Amino acid sequence: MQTINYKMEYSILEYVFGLIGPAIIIAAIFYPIADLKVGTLRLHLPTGVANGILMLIGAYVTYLTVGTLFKKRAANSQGASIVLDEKGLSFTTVKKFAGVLTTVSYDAIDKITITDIPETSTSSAEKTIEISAPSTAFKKFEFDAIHMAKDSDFDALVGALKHRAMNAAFKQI
Amino acid sequence: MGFLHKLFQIVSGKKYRNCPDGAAVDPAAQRALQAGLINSEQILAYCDSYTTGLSHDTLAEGLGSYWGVSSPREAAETLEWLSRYGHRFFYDIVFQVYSDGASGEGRQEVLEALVASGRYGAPEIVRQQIAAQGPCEEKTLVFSALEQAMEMLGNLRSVFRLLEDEVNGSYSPKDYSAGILAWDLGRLVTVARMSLDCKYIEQDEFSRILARVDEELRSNFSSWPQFAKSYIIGRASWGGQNMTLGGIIGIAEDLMADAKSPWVLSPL
Repeated sequence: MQTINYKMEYSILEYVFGLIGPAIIIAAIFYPIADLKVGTLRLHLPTGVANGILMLIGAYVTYLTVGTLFKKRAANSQGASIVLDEKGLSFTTVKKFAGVLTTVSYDAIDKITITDIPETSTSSAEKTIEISAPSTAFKKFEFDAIHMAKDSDFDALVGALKHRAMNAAFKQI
Repeated sequence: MGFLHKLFQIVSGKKYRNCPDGAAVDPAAQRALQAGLINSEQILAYCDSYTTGLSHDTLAEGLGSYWGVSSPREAAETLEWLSRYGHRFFYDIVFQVYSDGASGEGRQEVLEALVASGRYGAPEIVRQQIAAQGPCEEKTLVFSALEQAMEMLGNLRSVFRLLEDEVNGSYSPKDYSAGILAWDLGRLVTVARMSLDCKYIEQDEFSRILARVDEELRSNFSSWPQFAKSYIIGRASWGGQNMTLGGIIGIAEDLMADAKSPWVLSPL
């Protein structure tokens, strides 16, 4: 059995973005807006509607940003690792903000796409492994090397899949 | 002029060049020549005769620059190496190490397998020489071999389960475990033909090489597509994935599928 750490880190930027939505909601509550203007077009909205629209936008932004944080938390909830054993691999999938420990048999994997694009002067490196298992609930899942502790973990996962996923067709991008 | 001529041949898509002086008549020799077809198509040599039909300059550059062969002695050494070891010697070792899932880089496992092979001397003595301080010839040879083998292991890791061609489809793990004999046989035929053209080897020696290639072909391969897989895996394990590999796979696909291809006209 082999265990690869697979942990999604939180960035300060995500926390900062997470504050944008609530900030919009607070602003909409404390600063009444008479009307909304788009370019030269004045919408002539009834009183309070403009603030309501802003609050909805704030709620949606909050949902997106805070949702991402909760999804990361869920993804890290079941041990934050990929476990490879003789028959299959186990990892955490996210379902409605909850982490679900998922085990996939190597035989169920029918396609594996490895993306390994080195860093250039204009773009950052991209290293991902997408496994496709049509008979499972998640159908497709992507592992990103950015969430692995070492570069060699990515190579180890690729190597293990190459040796064990006998029914899979491999493709490298 | 030579370059322009070669470029014209590539652009004009001239494939399966027949020798104007006639083809080899012996069926075993023909089969052996066909084992070198991927290579001979790559260098635009005749596909059906002992002579390659290449100019003296091309032969000298091909043998000298790429093979380090510029004398009968060097030709004999290279042909002997291809015949006896080739790249399959390293491949068989690194494939085993890779299949066993060696932890880490696999360097120690490859080194031990090289020593245990006996190619560099009695294993016990070589182990003592490696452990001892100071340089010695065997030690240098083993470590030079280790570097080559590690490069092949890296290439194998990167191409394993990723190779495919239009005729065979994706190559299975079994195809990789079958080895790369075709890669060595194909090159053996081409180097032997070029050496014959340069008069580095005699006709008798050349005939012996073709007979050996034919024997290996019939014992190890049941079809040309099977042979092509072994050749392509060998090429990829030696040179890794690059644009030239794509070109070689293209040549092999044509050989397996073209109605006028010698492989299609004379199945193995």
